[in-house]
Amino acid sequence: MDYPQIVQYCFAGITVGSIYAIVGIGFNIIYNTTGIINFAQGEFLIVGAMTAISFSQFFPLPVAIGMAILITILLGGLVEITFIRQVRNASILRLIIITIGISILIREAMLHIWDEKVRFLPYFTGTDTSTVTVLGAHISPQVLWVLGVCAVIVLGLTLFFKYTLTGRAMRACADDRMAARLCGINDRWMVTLSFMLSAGIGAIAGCIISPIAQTQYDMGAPLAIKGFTAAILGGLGNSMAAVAAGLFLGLMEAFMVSQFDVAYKEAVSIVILLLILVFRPSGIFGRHEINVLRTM
Amino acid sequence: MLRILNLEAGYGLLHILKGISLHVLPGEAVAIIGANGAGKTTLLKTIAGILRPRSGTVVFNKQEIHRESPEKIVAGGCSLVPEGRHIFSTMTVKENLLLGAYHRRRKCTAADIAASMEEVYDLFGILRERANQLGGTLSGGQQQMLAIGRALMSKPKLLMMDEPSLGVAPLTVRDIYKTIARLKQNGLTILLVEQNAQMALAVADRGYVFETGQIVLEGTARELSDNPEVQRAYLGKDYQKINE
Repeated sequence: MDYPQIVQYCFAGITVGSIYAIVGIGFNIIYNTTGIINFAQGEFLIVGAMTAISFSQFFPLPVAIGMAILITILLGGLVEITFIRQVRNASILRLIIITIGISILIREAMLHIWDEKVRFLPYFTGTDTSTVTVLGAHISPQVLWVLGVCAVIVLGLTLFFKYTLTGRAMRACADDRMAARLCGINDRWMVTLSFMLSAGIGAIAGCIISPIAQTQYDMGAPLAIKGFTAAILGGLGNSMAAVAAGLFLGLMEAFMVSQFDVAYKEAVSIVILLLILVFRPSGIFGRHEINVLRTM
Repeated sequence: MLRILNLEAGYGLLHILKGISLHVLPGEAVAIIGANGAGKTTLLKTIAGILRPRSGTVVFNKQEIHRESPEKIVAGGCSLVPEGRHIFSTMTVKENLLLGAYHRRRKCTAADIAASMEEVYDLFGILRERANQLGGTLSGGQQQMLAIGRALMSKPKLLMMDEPSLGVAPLTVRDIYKTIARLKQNGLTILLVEQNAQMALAVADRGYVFETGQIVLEGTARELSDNPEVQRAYLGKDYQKINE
């Protein structure tokens, strides 16, 4: 491989990797406030992208995407209020299985609304043939969009959790639910909010990746598995680690494709997922306490 | 300020509080003493809304609160410092305090909240020094101070404290109790649960003695500390000493 080619693969890797990272963060946000792994996370991406694609026929692209994000956020809130909240005193495992049910439900609903055709949003800038030359490699401007938007999401979330009262309240719920309630924080609303937030960033990720990765009703599950691998690899609950893990996963996949058959690409994350679950369930960056998940 | 009538509560099949009736007057400090498992913590959790009572009423500031959520109860001015402190260990001291003022977010300006924080820092100087340290890195006594400070940030009319001396070094316990006495002097109404009966009765005006979910004795702090039964069971004095 020559130098520009390596750069090329690197960009391909961090592009998908940053999407995995966003999905992983989506897992973490919900996991932190509830202890649930929300397996409908991948569906949020597809709902966001599909809605944006439909709206883009009537509205300019930014408006369409904005509306799609809003609708997905509402869907996330609705999912929490109608399913998760109603189950009282449920074990975490039961709630996780409910999220699997929700993901199937959303997928089937999408099949009915949008059929099984592959769709995509138009490129945000330029067309599918326009390229930008970076370090000798030719990359699509959409790649830069993906990287930029993902960076903004990560930065925005960090600031939100660190400096806003609502963000702090969400962290407080994750830290000690009872103490948070005693502070006057409505923990149920915080859980709803965490679903809305996850759905929102999911929708954004779904939209920005749609022009290059395309969108189909059943693409949520594979994305969820990749994002889940990123979350687990980094250590559940740790969003910054999920970013590192997501990028790593993306790079691994990209170089796998460069060396072996494309068919093995999907195997990478599954193999990593299995290795992590068997040998280091608290994740690479994780500390021991995350192990509670095993004993749950 | 607080009036509890025939309160019954428990967890699942466990019936813990068996008809508790008590009251706390404005400006008063009331201690609840009793052995482990007597239902003291359950009582405070029920008042704070963490636990739903099975029957009975809790009236706070002329309003029935036993069906309210903890958020509403805190916002109404009844704040609990839970047993075992329950500070947010992954957040800084300052963040812990800010969250204590969560229910005031719409009613107060940032300056009001900063002023309350100054008050807490004046009470517990160590918290000011450690403002940017994570809650989990504090010692037991400092965590207890933080827990009390966090509750004070909600500007409570009634402050309930559950075993503030538990797991705290003896010298620090004295400091904490000095602060509690100071809070009382400033006019705060206090409901205190303690196994350390001596400490509790020293600061309280009145007290109740709990045994297996019932009140077996009540009276002024003086009466209780002079009562031979209380002395024997909770103040660590044996019969001989009492008989002398």
